[in-house]
Amino acid sequence: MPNPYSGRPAHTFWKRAVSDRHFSDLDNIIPRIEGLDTAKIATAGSCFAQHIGHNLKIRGLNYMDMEAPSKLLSDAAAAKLGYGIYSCRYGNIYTSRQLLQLVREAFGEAKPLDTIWEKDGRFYDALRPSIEDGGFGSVAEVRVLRERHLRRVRRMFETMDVFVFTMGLTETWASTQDGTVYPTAPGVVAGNYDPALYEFVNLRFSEVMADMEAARARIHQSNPSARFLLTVSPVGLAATATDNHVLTATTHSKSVLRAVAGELSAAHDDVTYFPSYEIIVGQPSRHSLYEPDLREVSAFGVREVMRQFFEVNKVGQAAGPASEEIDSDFGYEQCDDALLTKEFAE
Amino acid sequence: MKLIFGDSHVSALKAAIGPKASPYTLIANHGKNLIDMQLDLVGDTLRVFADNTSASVPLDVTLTKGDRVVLSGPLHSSLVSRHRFWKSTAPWTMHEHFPKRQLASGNFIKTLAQDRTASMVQLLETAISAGISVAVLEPPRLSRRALTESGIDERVLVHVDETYRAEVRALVEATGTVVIDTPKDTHDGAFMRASYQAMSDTDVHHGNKDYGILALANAAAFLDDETSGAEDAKTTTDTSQTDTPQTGKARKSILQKLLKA
Repeated sequence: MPNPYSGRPAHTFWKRAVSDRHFSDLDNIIPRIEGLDTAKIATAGSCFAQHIGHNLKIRGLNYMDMEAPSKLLSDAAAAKLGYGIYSCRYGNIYTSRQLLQLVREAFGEAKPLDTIWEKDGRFYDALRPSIEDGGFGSVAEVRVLRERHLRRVRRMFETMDVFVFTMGLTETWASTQDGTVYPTAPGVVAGNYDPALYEFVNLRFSEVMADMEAARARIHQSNPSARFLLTVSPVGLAATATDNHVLTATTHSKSVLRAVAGELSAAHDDVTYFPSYEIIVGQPSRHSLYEPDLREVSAFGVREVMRQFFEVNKVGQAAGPASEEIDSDFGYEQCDDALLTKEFAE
Repeated sequence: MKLIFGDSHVSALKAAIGPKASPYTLIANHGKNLIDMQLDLVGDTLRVFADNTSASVPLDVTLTKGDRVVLSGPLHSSLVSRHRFWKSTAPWTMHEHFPKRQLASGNFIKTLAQDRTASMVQLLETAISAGISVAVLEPPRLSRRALTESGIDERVLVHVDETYRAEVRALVEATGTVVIDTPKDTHDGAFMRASYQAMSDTDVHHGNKDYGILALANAAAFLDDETSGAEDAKTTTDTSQTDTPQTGKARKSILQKLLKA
């Protein structure tokens, strides 16, 4: 007696696709991205996205680095100044609202009011507070460098072929004056927390969806052929500002982001979802791809995700660099939210 | 031992001495060998070793307590300031002059200085801890030929060069090490005077024998001045400008010997 599941491929059945498979051997889970070998690829997102960009770069793909550091700097020194982490020096973009804000600001359609935070006589770009270790010397320096940075960001949006964006969080802090959102809570890297000036926001599904649709639409207005590769960061929340348990809050945030990514990829041909989240978080790995803190992804986990991605998308250097050459710890020093973990480690 | 060692700028000082016997040992090596050095301190003996480039023999120097050493290398700014990066990037303070360029923050050159001199600063600290008197020799200012051939805007080149030197100088002096300034007569405040430039068509930043004579005299004043050491010499030193009667006499004596050669 036939039923709708008769004849369906193996990867659609849990037993054959998951129960009987090792996590390194999942079949038909990675999407194939057409034209990736020649595409100009830009990256942004939460800190897990740093690994994607880093791997694209070392495999010789056409990775866009619009604010390239001088080769005079070692990689470590360049990273300290926010170079080479993403395609522009925007630091981590954790939320859909932050992405939309950056898109609008880059195209000159928004001008956030409260953008410079001070600490110990140094000045920080509040919209990318970790971009320069120790901050800047003056307000003027922050302003001038941000204005020049935004031009590069705009150029990136206008010319990229594929935009890889890792969605990280739904929780954020916003200005009560104009709704500007920040990658870190005021007072963590710089600035002062004043409840009258800043409020906690936990973006809901409809808001994340609307942000992402608006960002996509604005980018397409200037670059109609841009495609999007979405991932969801498997890194848990360092802390939640809700009253929920941090594990519940993490599940909620990631579920919202995963649902939005699915919805966008279902709605638009130019949006693809890359399930690095499922590879890391899913049952097959039995949480073995996490560090002992069960929050950060291990070097091996990152390597495994990228191996699967490049194995399906046969692009770049055929074999990629030897595993020992891949600096899988790359980037974790640049996670703003990890500062919360350090702060409350006691 | 009285030793002058470090990057290729030591060659001008070697040229100044020529084949004559000298109370000083001079070792010129490749600048890359100063970027990452292996330091082995055993008792009072410090071995400095680096083999970072096939373009040079390895750097292999052994220093002991009581040695007086002049290191050339930390303030070698030429490779930084002449780098093509500065054709497309400008220091942020010059943003009005370069409206289309990428800008480098104030931290950029500071980080660059820390990054490139980390191993040399560690060498200075280790040498001082081992009782070795050490000074750092500033290389010549850039030549105007460097400006022409690099194609970098003069304002950018001079700013980067001066800022980088100032940042490195601060790092070096923070260890308690004397900086021996490039001889005052050899530059016009920004660039090396043509009469002190190496004459090779391809050389844009080294000094010639005449430069070497003046620089050697300054270095010798430190090497021969047994009263000054790393611990008591906290100030920047261009001995041509701040001669004491004793060091001035010694310097003139060295100069006379060298100029007779």
